[in-house]
Amino acid sequence: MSILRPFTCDDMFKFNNVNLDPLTETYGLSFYMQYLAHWPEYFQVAESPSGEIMGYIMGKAEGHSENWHGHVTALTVSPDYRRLGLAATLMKFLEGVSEKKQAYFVDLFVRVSNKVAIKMYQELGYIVYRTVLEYYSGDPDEDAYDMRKALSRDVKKKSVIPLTHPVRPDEVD
Amino acid sequence: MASKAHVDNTVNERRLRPIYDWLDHGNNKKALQEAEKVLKKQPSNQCARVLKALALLRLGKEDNCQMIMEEVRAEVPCDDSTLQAMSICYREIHKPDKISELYEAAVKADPTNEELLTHLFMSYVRLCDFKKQQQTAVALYKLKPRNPYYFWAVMSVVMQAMQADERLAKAVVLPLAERMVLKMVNEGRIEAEQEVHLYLMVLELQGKEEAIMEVLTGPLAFRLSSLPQRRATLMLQLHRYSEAASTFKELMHEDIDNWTYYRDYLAAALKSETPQKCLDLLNEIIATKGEKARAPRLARFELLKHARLLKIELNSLDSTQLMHQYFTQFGEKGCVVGDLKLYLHLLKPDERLHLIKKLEQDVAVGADDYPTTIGQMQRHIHLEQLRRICGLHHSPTTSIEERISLADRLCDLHKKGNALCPASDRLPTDFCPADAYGLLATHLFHQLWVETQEALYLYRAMALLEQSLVSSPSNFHTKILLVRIYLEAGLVGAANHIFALLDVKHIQLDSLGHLHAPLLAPLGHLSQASSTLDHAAKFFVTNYKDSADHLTFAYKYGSFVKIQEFVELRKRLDNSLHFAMTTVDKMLLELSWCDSPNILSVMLTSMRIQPHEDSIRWNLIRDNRDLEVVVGWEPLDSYEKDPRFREETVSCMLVLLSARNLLLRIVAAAAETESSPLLAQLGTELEKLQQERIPEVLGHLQDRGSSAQSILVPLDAIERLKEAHESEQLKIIARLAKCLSRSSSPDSQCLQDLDATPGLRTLPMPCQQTPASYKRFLMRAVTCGETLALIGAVCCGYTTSQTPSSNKKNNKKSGKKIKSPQPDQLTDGWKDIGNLLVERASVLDSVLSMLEKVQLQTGLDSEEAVTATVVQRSQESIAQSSREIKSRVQLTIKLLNSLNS
Repeated sequence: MSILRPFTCDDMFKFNNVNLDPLTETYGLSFYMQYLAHWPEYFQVAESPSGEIMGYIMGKAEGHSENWHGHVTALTVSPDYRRLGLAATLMKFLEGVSEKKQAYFVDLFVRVSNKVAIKMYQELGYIVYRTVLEYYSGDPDEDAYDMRKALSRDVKKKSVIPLTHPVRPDEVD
Repeated sequence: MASKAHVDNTVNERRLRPIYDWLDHGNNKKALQEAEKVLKKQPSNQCARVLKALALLRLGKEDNCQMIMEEVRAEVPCDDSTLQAMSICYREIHKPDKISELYEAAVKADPTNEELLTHLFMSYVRLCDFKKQQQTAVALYKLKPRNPYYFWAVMSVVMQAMQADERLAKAVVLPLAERMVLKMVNEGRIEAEQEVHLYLMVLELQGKEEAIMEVLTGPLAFRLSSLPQRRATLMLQLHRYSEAASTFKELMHEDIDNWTYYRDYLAAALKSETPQKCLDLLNEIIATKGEKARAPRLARFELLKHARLLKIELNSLDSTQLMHQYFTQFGEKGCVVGDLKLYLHLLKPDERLHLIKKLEQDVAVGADDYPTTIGQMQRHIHLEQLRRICGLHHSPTTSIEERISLADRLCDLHKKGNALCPASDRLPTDFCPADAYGLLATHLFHQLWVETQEALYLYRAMALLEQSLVSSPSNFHTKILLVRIYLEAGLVGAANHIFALLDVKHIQLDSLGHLHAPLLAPLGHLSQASSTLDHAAKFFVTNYKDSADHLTFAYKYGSFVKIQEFVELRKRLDNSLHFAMTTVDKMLLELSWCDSPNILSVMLTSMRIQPHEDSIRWNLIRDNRDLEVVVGWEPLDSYEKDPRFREETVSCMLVLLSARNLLLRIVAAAAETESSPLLAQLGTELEKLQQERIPEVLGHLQDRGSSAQSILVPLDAIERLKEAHESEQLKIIARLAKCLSRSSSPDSQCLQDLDATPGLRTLPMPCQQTPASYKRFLMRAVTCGETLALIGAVCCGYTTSQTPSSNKKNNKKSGKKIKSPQPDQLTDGWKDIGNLLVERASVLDSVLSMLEKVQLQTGLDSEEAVTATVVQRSQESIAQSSREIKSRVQLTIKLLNSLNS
């Protein structure tokens, strides 16, 4: 349960309860501003009845013709508000926006080690479309799963036929 | 011809490419060489010249850069890459207005160039020149009638309205914007959702709700999302309550766990229906499909709250019982405490205790037992948090002894809880559920420290939290509390170590900086302070440059709703109180490191301080601190007033900022010739702060009693202001300034004042037999060192500014009928002051040498492994503080010795 509303600049001053979590990256200001300027409808925050930020989602729409799709750039829920189904609510919202834009599918990248997240996305109907080798830099670099879910415009579900071989990051468009 | 131009372009591009590459890689020397190479073949190549200028700028040769830029500008360049490169240059030297001039000239030369006009428009966006934005957008639309240009013009008008006074905005400017949009609407030429948003914004700013409703129900509505909710919210605003209520009702049925709908439904329904009917609806939703939904259950409390305000009794609702049910159902969830906290005030104190009793029976962990499952432990933790909120951790309900045993008990629970959910069962990024016991215990330890002044409690909290981090290394709540506790004991190095684990960056430097940055220098970690303050200042400066670009993105993508927000963010960061404080602190810190009059004067010149004017825009200052980030469960009764003291601490910070800004201006003023009236004025202002404003602000804090010492209250502002006041640092520097404004060397009264001031003496060293906090001692030692350095700077600056033309100055003074002392009296005054200060500095130095060798007592069990961690961090922190304050004292002594010659 939450209040879902568009993310605003002021939220950046109080999203620490979410962003201090080690799995959530705090980006430079320009990154957030790009998303707010370009895809404001894709940047939503879930707020508790007391006004605390519980989590947020940021995404975008990109690609051409049958590759026109919604992309989840970041999805994060504060450690204090986990296991309440919040991530699912936020994902549902993003899928709704993508449907309205007549996208063919929604995709996202996730660390292969992040079992909890992968399981959640699978429960929400996402499949592992392909593996992206050494997508996350670090020591050592880590592979990513590119996960996808087809939207209603992709009637034949062509976007979610998994690739049989992994790809390198530079092959990802 | 066209093809020849094309060939030229490609050739040009190929030649210039290497210069760009070197610039991108930050190798400005190579870029310069490469540019020279191109210029040898084509000396007039504009773009190459500008790139050379850019390389020179980045190599620190701003003058050479500007010279080239002026030459190129005079040629009125019109080609895109030259103009782009020049824009980058002007942006880097903070001259965005030059970019506009550049494109103005280019557009004049080539008036039908769409690209140039677009750049011109964006350059005005950077300057927030809305009028010229509008003109340029209109010119663009005339050239190419495309919708975005038209709406850029509309938005530029709206921005003018925001700037204009309200009457003018409503009577003239906004109606103009509305007419402009209506023209497009009537011609059926609206193309995008954002354009409708802009239309709605124009109507909203005029308060035209009926017109908005027409849009929401008319032919444009299909472009908008979440329409039903928009309509219902508007109905609520238009007092069409029953329609609003029924729309929200539908929405609730569609999405039964969306809190917004319930909140707004109640706001509307209570105006058109009986509370009982609302309750029936909520109960029906819960009974039919809301088995797991929190929203309708929480809405019953919200209903109760409204009913109370309306003085309507809802007999069928027993709030205690409902809360009990709520806990029974959601007791394991992390949100349960926050949810209930919102409504606990609906219960009378005895009802709250009754609720707690019932919950204790349910959770069923006996006084000497421990939870046996993780679920039970989570309920137990949430119960304990509720107990704290109900005042059961505080006087008068609980005595100090009871608090001690409660803290002990929580430590045991923490330990057992850790065993219940071992680290091997979790990912290192998952928090251990038992951590929460440690956080609660820390709050109690902090209370006990405040009440008894026994520092043992601080060290116990450190050990507990350090231990907690071993098994649960990513819990940021633990880290934040640990930072607070280390600081409370004066162990700033340890605090800094833990703070670094939070990996705070970018905008967090502003919102979270208050947790540690302002205390680094006052507790003696001077070089860390210097780099931390530098880092923060860089963020603000870079951001100010970037934020102009962000505004251009918003126009580019037509996100009109965000433009106002972006402008606001820019103001918020630019006027950040933390930024202002950081800037002043950084300059004072650097000045305090001077060891010769020469260096002082170089430093003052480079800082460009304007002592004659107050550069801080006080009426615009913004407090951007995130205070909610420190976790806590303060008793409900304290919530009538903000338990985190935002307002009070802001006043402290503002007064501290004015005091330190005055110190800075005094140092700068003393180094100027003819500074007497200014020194007198600044001295008087500083004295007034010390005598009036500071006692007033600190008095307000005292009125709020012991809650002003809660762990939730930011430490920096209050502690630093208290120290500045008690040490009389401000008073003595004010006196000195006033004295120097009267006579050209310190008089005997000034010398006596210096001799007597507590700001030049350390406090008694904390007892070394028992655990102690070094906070107050270190703060005073730093004040002492800083005061010596600043007095030294004032004196040296003053004497240097007098020396070359001392006769002339004396003549002028005597012209003002101030008796000019004899030359040897003059030097005597400076000598005496120099001797006194050097003597104080030497005492400080030797006290610090003793402190450096202190064997720290923690009172902790030496068998425990974590004790060694705490001891090592603490010991190292104190030694480092001592060394750094000492090394500054050495520099100050060198500076002071120059007074004797």
